[in-house]
Amino acid sequence: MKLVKDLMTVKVISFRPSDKLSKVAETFAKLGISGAPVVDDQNRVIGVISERDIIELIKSKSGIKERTEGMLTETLQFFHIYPVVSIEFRRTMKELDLEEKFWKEIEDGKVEDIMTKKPLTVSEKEGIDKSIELMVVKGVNRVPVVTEEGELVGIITRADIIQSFSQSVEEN
Amino acid sequence: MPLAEDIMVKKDRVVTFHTHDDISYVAQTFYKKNISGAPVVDLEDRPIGVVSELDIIESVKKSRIEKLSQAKGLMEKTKVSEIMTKKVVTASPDTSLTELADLMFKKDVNRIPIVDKNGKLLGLITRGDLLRGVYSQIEQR
Repeated sequence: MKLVKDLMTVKVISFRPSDKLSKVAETFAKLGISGAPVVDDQNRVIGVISERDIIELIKSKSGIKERTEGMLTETLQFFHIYPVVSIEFRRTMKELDLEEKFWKEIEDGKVEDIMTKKPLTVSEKEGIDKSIELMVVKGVNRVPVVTEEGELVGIITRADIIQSFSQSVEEN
Repeated sequence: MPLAEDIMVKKDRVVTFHTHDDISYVAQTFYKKNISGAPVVDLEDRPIGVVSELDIIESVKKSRIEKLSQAKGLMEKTKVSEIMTKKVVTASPDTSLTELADLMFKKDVNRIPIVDKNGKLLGLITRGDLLRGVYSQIEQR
């Protein structure tokens, strides 16, 4: 049984609760990641922010705009596909006034408004079975790795688990 | 050791597309079924490509439309064949879990269609399915 510390990524991107969602979107798009832990000023994990959280925000905000509902439904279907990329994409296009305000609201939102609080975490000394269980049963894609005091030391993702099984092919 | 046929989602529950489908339909299907990609099959149910969210986004970005409202019209005119990835990584039903993981990692794919000796679709394994396969192995101990 492999241990979390054997597979985890040590250089982990994290955000602060006060970071703007536009920064999150750009970071996700540039680095090709879909989620990251949120830490306080002592580097303790207090949440996780993911693409899904941004999607949910877009969906909930769009409910208010009845006038352009038809178009927003289409927009929503389109933007559901990749809201992170679409936020950058939007800047290159001319939009209706109403939509400008809509997207600005989304972009200026803060990490702490939508992050998942008190996320599931694991310790680096544990076997990876607990991480796998969390991913399968709770449906998370990534699990922050923390010390006993809750400080962030790494992250373990689905890709890391799959990679570990891949390498066991060579060990056989 | 589980094999592909034990882990895969069987073909009657696999969403597939054809080359002539338009990508607006693909996008809506992805949204409704909550998936991010799917195999493209020929008339004999053989995988000939894969289409994913990213392919759709890249396609619309490249087109440089000026208004968001134009996106839907554009997507309705674009066919799967124009944006799909033609190289498909497939595997046979007796492929082991570790070999599947190896394929996913080395070829950097998110889904592997499982095919019979004639190349016809039998099922699909995504990263999530692979992880579930791993999990059920661990649970049994």
